[in-house]
Amino acid sequence: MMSRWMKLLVRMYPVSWRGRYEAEFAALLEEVQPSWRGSFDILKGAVAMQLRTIRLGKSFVLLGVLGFFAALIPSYFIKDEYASSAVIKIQSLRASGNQVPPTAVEDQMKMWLDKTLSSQSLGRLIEKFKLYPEKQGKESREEIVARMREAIEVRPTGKDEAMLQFRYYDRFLAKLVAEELTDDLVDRSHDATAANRSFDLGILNPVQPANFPIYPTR
Amino acid sequence: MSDPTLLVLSSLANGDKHGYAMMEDIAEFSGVRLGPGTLYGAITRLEHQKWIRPVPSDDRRQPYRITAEGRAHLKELLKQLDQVVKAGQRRLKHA
Repeated sequence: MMSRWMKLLVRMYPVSWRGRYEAEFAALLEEVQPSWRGSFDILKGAVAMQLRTIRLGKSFVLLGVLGFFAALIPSYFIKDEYASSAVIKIQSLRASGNQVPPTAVEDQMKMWLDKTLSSQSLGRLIEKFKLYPEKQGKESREEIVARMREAIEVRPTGKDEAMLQFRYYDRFLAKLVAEELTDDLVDRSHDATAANRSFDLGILNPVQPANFPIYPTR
Repeated sequence: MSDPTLLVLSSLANGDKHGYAMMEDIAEFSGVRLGPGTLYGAITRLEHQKWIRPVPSDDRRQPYRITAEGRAHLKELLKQLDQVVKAGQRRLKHA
């Protein structure tokens, strides 16, 4: 007996072709018991036969449908990605309440971020939350750290505000790690020596869990 | 060497065969294992060109026979192939 999968593949051949060859083709498939490679060969044969027997317009429709499925299949092997973010407030510490020059904020933020996103700091988080388990043993520690660094984004979102975001394929871990990164950055601003502090950081909007993946969208 | 037309006609040159027997025979004499879709694509084309024809059978498995036109076409294909083989060997010798 042919499997349902084989029957489905045979049904992809044109009706006229099946009328002539289906019985003997089915007999062959029962004897051969095709593997995945054989199944692909049957699918290829069905497409070739459809293209031989149908009109041009229908060919385009068929190729469109096949293209759609060809694109859909890999998308199910791509993991969902969630983004969790916090909004950080830049607070002036100047007695007069004068605004801190943007270049000073930028320079200071860069220094704190270099420490928060250092290999040591990110390596600690990777170990603590057991991040990227599928890459362990396949990639070096530095490569995994670089992968994590690429998933972190810090950018200004308004006057005296910045957003810190972490993207990961587990939404709860995305939230926990984004919280740790935000706390680390804020703590560094509080720990800075008086001479270096013209401003510090506070949390305006705490990290929220992402309910929907940002990637892939299906 | 992996042209399904050449392989199927060569397989039928020494007697009638059904699909599975052709696949096994071709794998044995050429080392090429044709997939079911490729095999039946070739059978469809060859029958359409009247180079092979089905022979009556009580079995669900349908045997095929090479026709006179099929033999003539196979001879032509083999002649071309022979020319390529000889040219390649000559050039290797003089290289």
